Amino acid sequence: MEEKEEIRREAERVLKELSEALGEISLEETYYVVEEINVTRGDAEPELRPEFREAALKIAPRKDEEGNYIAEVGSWV
Amino acid sequence: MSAVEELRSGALTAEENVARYLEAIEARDREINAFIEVNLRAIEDAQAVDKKIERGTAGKLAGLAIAVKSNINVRGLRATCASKTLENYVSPYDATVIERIRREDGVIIGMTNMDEFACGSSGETSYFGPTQNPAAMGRIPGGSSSGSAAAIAANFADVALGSDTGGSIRNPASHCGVVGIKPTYGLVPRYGLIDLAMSLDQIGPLAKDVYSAALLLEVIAGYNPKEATTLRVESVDYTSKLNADLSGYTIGFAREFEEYTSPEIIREVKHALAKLEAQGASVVEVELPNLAKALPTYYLTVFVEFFSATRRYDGRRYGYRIEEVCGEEVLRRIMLGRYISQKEYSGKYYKKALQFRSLIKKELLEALSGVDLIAGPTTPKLPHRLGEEIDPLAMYAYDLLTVPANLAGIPAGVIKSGEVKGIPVGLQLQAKPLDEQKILNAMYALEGG
Repeated sequence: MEEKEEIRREAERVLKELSEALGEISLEETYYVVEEINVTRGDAEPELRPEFREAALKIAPRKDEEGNYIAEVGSWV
Repeated sequence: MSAVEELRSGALTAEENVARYLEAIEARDREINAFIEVNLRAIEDAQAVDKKIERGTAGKLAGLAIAVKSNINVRGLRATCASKTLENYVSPYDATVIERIRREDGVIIGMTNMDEFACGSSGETSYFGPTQNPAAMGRIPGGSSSGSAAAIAANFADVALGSDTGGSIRNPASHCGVVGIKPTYGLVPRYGLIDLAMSLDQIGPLAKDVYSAALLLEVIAGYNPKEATTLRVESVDYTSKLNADLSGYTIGFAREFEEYTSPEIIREVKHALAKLEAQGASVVEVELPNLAKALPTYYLTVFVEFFSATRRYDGRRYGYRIEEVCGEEVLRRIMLGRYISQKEYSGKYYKKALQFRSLIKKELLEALSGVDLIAGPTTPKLPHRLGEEIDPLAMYAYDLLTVPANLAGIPAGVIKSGEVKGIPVGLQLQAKPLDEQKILNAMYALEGG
């Protein structure tokens, strides 16, 4: 318990120092997309493709009238 | 003659090759602690490869002994992540990279030691004990792919797989004096890699020489339909294009490297730059003004992604509940990730880190736009002595020069450039996305062609 408290105190110090080291950013808004699909792509406004949503909803087992998926709640919850 | 040449010429059988490594592991790994588990079927697997060699149907990696980091799933072996959390977890399937290695007849020799859940830069946080640095006994081997790098340096395997989230292949490659490559994000499938931070992790090779590293990389690289994050690269061929002539190459060196790195390491790096010039390259200065911001950007991102990744270790399906059994560094990262992930703090830390990530990526790609490669040091300081008390922030500082490549998704390689007081020092070469060949060529030139 004492050891966990010590780790927690150290974590708080780490966060404070990292946050100070990062400082403030004076950039204009970026889209801060995490580049997972294609790392060569630049930072830009994301493109929304309505046909993807339509295709996904077409095969959804259940959906509501606003076009949202209805997912089953895990039986363990 | 290298093992690849010996095996191809028939001077050595796969069984003989694997047997000599198993003997070396048996004799010396109690001292090094590079392996968590040795593959008891390795000889049987090698005998099967020998039959294929006789029939003339063997693949590119025929008979090579391959060590695998313990966060990559290999069917029938334990993927422990060097944690008590998963100490008895036996993989029920092969990661895509392992499927590709088996298809080309590589022999898995065992699962290597590592920092617990890849959280560390020294190889000291493993539940299975720290790993020694075979190239500088008494010093840390670096991490988190500590066992993979040590296995190569100790001559326990021909090649090894590691994973690199913020330098985990390059840092131990530098400290152990071996070759290591962190590929472009998305070039190598991550399916079957137990993630530390999924937007940064990449699997890559560690090897004794550039040819072997290139060979393993070309086998594991390429598009995987199971993953949205792999790039549409169907196949690559690095080995046949290895060329030590660097005429026409422009190599950048950033003045900021000198600001954050010990002078003795810079001296070795400059020797390596002179060698690259002698091979035909021209060296110019580039600017990386936000280099120091990369470290906090990286760690604030990793804490959040790692916290998310660990939510599956709740003790129901995989071993123990992580918070109850993990080591200090893992627990610290979980605590920080949980705190930062709260809605009221995400703007203050995580979103800001993502904005800096965009800035660092832009800056690095701009610096690379005028050159073929950026060359510099791998770590800012020499490895400390095993067991020495190190403050967490001082430990994180080892990653200062390696994290930018992960944040930007670009490839980077490390090769030994010299020694300081008998301790290896690695030169890091970074390139534009998918320019692995240029990195390999420059390393090949340094190796002597």
